Amino acid sequence: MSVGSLDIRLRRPTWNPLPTGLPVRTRVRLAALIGVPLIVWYLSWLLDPARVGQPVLYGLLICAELLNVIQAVGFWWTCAFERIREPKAPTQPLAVDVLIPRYDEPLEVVELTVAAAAGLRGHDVRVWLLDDGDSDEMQRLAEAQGVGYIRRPVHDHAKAGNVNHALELTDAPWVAVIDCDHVVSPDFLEATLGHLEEDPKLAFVQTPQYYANGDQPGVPGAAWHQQTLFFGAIARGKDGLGATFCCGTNVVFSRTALDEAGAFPTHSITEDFELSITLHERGWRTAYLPKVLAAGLGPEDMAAYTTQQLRWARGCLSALPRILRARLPWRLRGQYLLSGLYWLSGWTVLFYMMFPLVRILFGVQPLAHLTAPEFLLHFVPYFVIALSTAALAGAGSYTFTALALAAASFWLFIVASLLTLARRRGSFKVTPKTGAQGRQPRAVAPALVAIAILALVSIWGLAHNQDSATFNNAAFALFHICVLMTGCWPALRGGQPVEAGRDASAAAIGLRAS
Amino acid sequence: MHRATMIALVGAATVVGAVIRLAVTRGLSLDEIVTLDRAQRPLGQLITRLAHGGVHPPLHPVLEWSMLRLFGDGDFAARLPSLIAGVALVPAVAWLAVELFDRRTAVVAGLFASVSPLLVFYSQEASGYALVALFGTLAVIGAVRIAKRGTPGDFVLHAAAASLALWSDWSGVLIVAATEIALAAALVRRRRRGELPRRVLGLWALDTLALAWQLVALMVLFVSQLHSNGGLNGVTDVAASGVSFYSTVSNASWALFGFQPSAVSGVLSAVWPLAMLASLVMVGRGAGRRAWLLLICALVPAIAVFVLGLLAPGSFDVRYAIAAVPPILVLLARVATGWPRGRTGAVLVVGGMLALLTGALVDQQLNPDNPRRYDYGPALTQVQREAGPRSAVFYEPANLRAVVQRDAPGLHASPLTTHLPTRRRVGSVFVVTSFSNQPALLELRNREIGALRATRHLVRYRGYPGVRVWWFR
Repeated sequence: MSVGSLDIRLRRPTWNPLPTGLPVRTRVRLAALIGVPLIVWYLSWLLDPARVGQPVLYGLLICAELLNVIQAVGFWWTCAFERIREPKAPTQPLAVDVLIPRYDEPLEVVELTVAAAAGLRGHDVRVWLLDDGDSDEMQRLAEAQGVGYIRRPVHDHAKAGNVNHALELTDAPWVAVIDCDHVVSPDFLEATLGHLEEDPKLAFVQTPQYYANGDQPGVPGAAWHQQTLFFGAIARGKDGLGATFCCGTNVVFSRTALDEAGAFPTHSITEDFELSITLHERGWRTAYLPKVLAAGLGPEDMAAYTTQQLRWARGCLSALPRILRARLPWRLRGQYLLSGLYWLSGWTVLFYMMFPLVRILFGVQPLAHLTAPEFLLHFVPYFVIALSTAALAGAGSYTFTALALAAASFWLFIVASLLTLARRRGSFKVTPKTGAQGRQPRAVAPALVAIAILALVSIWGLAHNQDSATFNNAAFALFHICVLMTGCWPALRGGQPVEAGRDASAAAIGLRAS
Repeated sequence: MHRATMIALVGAATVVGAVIRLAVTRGLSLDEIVTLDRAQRPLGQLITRLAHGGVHPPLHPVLEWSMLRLFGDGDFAARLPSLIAGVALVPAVAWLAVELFDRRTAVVAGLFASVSPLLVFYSQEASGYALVALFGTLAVIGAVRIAKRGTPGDFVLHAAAASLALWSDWSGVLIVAATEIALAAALVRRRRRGELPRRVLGLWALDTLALAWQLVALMVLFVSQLHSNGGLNGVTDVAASGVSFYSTVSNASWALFGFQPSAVSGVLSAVWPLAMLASLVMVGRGAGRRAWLLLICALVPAIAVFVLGLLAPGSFDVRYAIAAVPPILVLLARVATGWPRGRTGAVLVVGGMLALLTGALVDQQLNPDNPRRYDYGPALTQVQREAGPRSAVFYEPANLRAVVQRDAPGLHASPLTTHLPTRRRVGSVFVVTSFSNQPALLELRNREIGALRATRHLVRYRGYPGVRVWWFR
């Protein structure tokens, strides 16, 4: 078997999902102990009717602040129940179908994935390349690697349809799903199957979706830092609350659970999220193993990131009615709602950007009788504790660039929520695995327009009025400009796509497949 | 970077710093003149006056006493101890940076220290604050070296520098406390790892005991000063307005950018959202143990001054937290050299920060609206020139007497609390005032000026930096 020179996905993972030192659970509980009174202190001040300035703006501010508070409290709640599972090997050899769905990913990406899957240790492993791209090249690759190859006659329902089709043709009691850009570690099954064998009501074991290109500057790095918070403190907390949801790859299912759920739902573009709700409704448990057992490729450029985020946002937002209707325990419903509501954060960014503009242009603002010391006295303690908790829980892995990338994507989330509200059906778009070389200003055009408006209005305001209120609002505008510009910068600078084999000097774990 | 290159560059920064500090753009302030006035007395009387009515520990007054006898009572001689300490602070800051980080950071920290407006300001003032900054920095270096190695020499450095900081100004106790906290944390960590020899522990105990012993002696002096000055507000007799949002922002900006006019402080207060941005930028950056040590040394004095300000408004002033400035400069140098990716980015960030500090320094040194600038000399010279034989000159506050005696020795002047003369007896009345931000003085001034306005014709009003002159006929 030859896979050419070393691929970055073979490098030893640089991220450990388990931070050292004081457990995150303890850190967050301590922070929440201080934070809850501070939130009450801030909200009791903010919700005082005497604060109402311009009523519509005040209403928007309250909506934005409440959404932020819900997210902050939800984050504390989640992380405070952190559970850390250890890898657990099964007591006997088990038969597993390893499904690798592929659509249009190139050979250099898929080849290593298939080779690594073929090298999984210790079980009756049946690897299947599910080729929705009808590529003869892929068929030859499967033959060369000695793995199964499935091509379906009708390519409907995207990835969910592809996997469901394979489920009908295979029969192992356990099913692993690996995206075709993810290179699994040889002990992937040994680490996960023990949990499924031990608990017959466990539907799946999810493992982190690690981006091997996460140390690259620009979009891959920022996108990875967003992932680290989720696959770190949040995922461990969700596991503690029994609320882990499937993330579509690096996951091992019980076939019984999949059969009972009727396989992957085909009406959603986030079929993994919807499947998790169904499984939880039917009383199945889910688990998260915080150990990097597969290395994939994150979005390489802004267009790829946009595609990914729009799909996730639309999928999660469209699931909100289902979450509200589902027969779920309150803690699971709360956890799903938190995951869904996150995608409304684009509106909060829009409102916050709008306030200084409206103040400079029309002299109206959401809050009345406001002085900076009074506002800061109530807001800063809450802001500091919320920010510190995110930093403490993320153990340094969540960064400003990750936050800025999310903020610069505000328009995506707004578009997603509007499309969801209009009940427009979305289509599954695969996140591109190779990046573009050039600049992609169109991928961030709405954010650039926002930057231009903020800058122009601030300059106009300062040219006409140099009082402290104008300086204050211009500073707010500059705040947003800096955040948005940081988020847009990778698209304006252009990408340097990762190529297989370019990192021969890396400390490689080596491909232990034959 | 080679060691020789670093030494050469830090040396160049020191020379630049010395030139900047020698280019004094302001005359002696009231505090400096009072200090000089006291240094004229015999040493015994000086010490007695320090204990009863003084507001500082004895090191700086004794140095002033020596300077006066060695070099005369000129402005340069009065400010020489601060000048020497201020210039020495440049390589000291670089030394701290190289102990904690690397040579590149050391050079940048040295450059920042050479143009740091606040450090320059107190290097040009006959007060003990530059001494506190220097000895405080050396104490931090000692603490860093003890945390890393703990040789007897490191303990001697820490103990000697911390002692000198304590004897330079009362605010020295804040930086010494900070180094003790940082040191204790570092040594506890080493002990947990089993890396702390008993010898180091013993030396630390000796070091702490030596400082504690001196604190007992200093405490006796401090209590005496408290008693004779009527409490903490008397000892910290600064024209500070206490803790408020505005004064907090002003002090924070003064620490970095020096003394700027109130209009600039007003703008800085308004742009607080940028501080929120800075806090977001720091998310995920993490802070190593070395950065934490610096943060402790910067935050302990700053927080202590804030808390003291709540108890005694006069103590909320940036001068009492001056020892926090060198650690902050080292942290900034680390950010400038460590955060940007690539050489170009680092050069741009360092250049930008340096330009900002230099701009602020130029403004501080040349802007007549600098709130800490007092040009008594030109104001009193003008009054002396215009005041005829039938003129009366009044001044406020009352301790401007020392200023009048120094800058206009032949001028007959009285405090404003004296009864104002009748028109028949005196032709022209001149009123010289300063410290207009103190409410009690402002009230008195407004009352008396109001009375003069009602009975006489205002010939001319002149504003000098920190001084106002009214001429009535």
